[in-house]
Amino acid sequence: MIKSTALASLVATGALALMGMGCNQAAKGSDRSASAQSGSAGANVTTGSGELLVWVMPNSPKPEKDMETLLEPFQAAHPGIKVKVSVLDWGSAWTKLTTAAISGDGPDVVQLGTTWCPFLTDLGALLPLDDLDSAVHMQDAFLPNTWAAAKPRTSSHVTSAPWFIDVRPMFYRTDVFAQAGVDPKSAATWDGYMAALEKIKKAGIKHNGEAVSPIGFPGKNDWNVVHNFAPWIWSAGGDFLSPLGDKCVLNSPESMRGILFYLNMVHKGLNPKTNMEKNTAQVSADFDAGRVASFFESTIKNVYLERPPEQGGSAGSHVSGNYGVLIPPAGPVKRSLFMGGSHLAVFKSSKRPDLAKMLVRYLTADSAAQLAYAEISGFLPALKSAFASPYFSADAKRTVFRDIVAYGRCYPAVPYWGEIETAILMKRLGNLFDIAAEVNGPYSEALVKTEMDAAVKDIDGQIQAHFKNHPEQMDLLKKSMAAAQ
Amino acid sequence: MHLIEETDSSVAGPGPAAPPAVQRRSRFQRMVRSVRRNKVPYIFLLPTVIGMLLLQAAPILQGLYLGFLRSRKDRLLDYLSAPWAGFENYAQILFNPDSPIRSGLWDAVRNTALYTVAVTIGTLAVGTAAALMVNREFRFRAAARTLMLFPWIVPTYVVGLLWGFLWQREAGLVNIVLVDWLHLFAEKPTWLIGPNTLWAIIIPTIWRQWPFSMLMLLAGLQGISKDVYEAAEIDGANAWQAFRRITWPLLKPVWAILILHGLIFNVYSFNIVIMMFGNGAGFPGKHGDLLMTALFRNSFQMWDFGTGAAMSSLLMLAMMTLVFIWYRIFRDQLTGK
Repeated sequence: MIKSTALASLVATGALALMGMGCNQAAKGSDRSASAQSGSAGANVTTGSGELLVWVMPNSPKPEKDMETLLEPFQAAHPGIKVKVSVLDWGSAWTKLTTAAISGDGPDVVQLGTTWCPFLTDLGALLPLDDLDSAVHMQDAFLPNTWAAAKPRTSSHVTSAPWFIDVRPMFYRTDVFAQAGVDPKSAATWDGYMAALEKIKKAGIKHNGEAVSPIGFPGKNDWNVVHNFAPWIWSAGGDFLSPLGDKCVLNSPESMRGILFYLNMVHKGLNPKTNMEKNTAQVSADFDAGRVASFFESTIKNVYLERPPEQGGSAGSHVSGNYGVLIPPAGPVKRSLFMGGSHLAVFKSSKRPDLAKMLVRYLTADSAAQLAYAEISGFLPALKSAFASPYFSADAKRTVFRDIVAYGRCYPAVPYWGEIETAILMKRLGNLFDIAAEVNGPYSEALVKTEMDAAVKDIDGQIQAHFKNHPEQMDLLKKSMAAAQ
Repeated sequence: MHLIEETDSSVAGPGPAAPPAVQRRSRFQRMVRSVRRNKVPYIFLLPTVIGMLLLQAAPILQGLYLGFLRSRKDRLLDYLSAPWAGFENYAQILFNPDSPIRSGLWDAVRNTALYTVAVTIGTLAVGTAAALMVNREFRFRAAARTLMLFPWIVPTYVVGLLWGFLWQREAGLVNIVLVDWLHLFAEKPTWLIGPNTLWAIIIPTIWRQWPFSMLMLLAGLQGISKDVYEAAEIDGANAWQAFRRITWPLLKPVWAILILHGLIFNVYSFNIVIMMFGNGAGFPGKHGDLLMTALFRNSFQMWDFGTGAAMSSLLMLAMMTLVFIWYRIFRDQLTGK
């Protein structure tokens, strides 16, 4: 039994090493056929076969079919492996994932939101992927900021690989900016952007008889509350947590400056108060209907605007012919933008971990697969080499997307971030929108500060509770910080 | 059967004077004999009893036990083997004002109390009116009854999503009807943020639940003999008197059940509010947060299952008290005294 296990390990290790070579070649700018060949090289030496269950979220218009298309080269190269894809709804995914982690009855490969990786790593649900890292030098191959979640700060192992990233460029109406006499380049800084918004408001532009608001963003009834605040806080020099990650600094003068700048857009009427009861999808629909001059949305919006109506897009509409994209404005201290996305990980309970790792490697470290999924979904690749494709350089809008990546920043990859974000920040930052909308009385900066003080108290309490149970993680946190410096 | 009873009394001795031990043995023996004699019915009942124990008693006991464990994020995989915490979780809830579980809890308690009372009364009022209406003879009555059930068959999470759109200030149908068509307000009210939030939750819940009340009350109404109304009519009673003296008292047992159902169902309301505000992601605000959403956020989203279970146990205790009060109020109607 021991002998057979050792033999299987040897074969698998050999297969992985060869697969690594194949993927390295692919990552050096090969096309899809080359990647399939690298896959078949792996297939020749891999005796493994069987079924792999993969859980993904709806990342593209036809999630299941799109995944099948993406997996075609891998399936052709590995006829013995049957990949079964299940699509989870984002709303229920977290519950299903944690249930699977606790029960030990989960999929082989799983898509994880970047903020989920540290928690599931801490829970011990994910298989270490250090061998994958050392084989293909993933850390160097991927965009630097994506690596934070792949190897969480309180972990000594790589537990996931970046799959795709989500950045939020500024979408704006070229015709409205022109009508208002605003040069889009002037919106490169906070002050310039604020002046542009005020100019648009003053111009009182209408579209089909309806007023066009200078900017649109949703209030508290939305998934993106924290993501929407993040770039304004960071670009003002503020942050959610201290550099070590052991304290909340949301009420610092720098963080407050960013928060107040963002809320001022509501207070000044640049973002209508009616938007405070909407969600991202509704504000996005307002942009499509011509009621919004500028807004920040994921790059997948571009795919929708370019896609013909028969494929679920809005190509040919007035807005689709009159929009541009910009890198969001730089703040008083720097330009630092939210970068989310998803990673792929292997569950410890996987019965075919070696095959699962092969699949993860194909989807994450294969340049052609990365580019193919970017084209299908509209999200951006996490692999640096994929950006060398003409897909990005030949199109002005996608060139902007490529350039935004350099300013992308992720949340701190600490295991307690999940509850801080979902249970505390969603509520506390959400309350700020109510203050800005003046539903409980006149707007005041003092009310905003009080709410942020309460957030700091809640978050610090949560962090203290975490380290009370895990005192050993403080050392790991300090080490990771020292390594980062 | 008669013979057995006689034999039993002979064993038990002469009534009240018999020693208690003998009485207990006698009762036990009677029970065993009864089971032996009615084996087949008891065998048929057994799967139900086992099912009830597994599906109801086991989760309740597990929940109660979890409330005494330190079942937090770091011990998640331990589940029921998590360290014993004694009354620590209860102390956190009751005596620690800084405990995360208490964040915004009083707002949620106040909102839940108002919501439960308003929804229960509203559901009964609309259900009663509708039941009286469709109890009368008219053309297409069957179709009307069927159509009236429509809101009840809509899943609660869909109700939350649907009304989330209807309440939109500018484009929502509610404001279009109230302001643009009926001119009831000078300005369009905001429903999904601010103090109106509670109404934005109460009204859809009444909309979802009234058909159930109507159905129950209609069944009750149809159980009242027409002869009673005819006799009242002969005695000169008008419609209001007939309702007050006949319909009202005879429907009291149905109302009692509906009030109980409303109280329990509405205190534990979750789906509509969680879906209306951010499809499960948002925060309903201090005017719209209910007990269940607060509990979900402050314990389960914080991975503090022990405190969450302790809080649920306290809530169960409060609900048992409420049910006890309900029973004392409606005991006569329910027992037919």
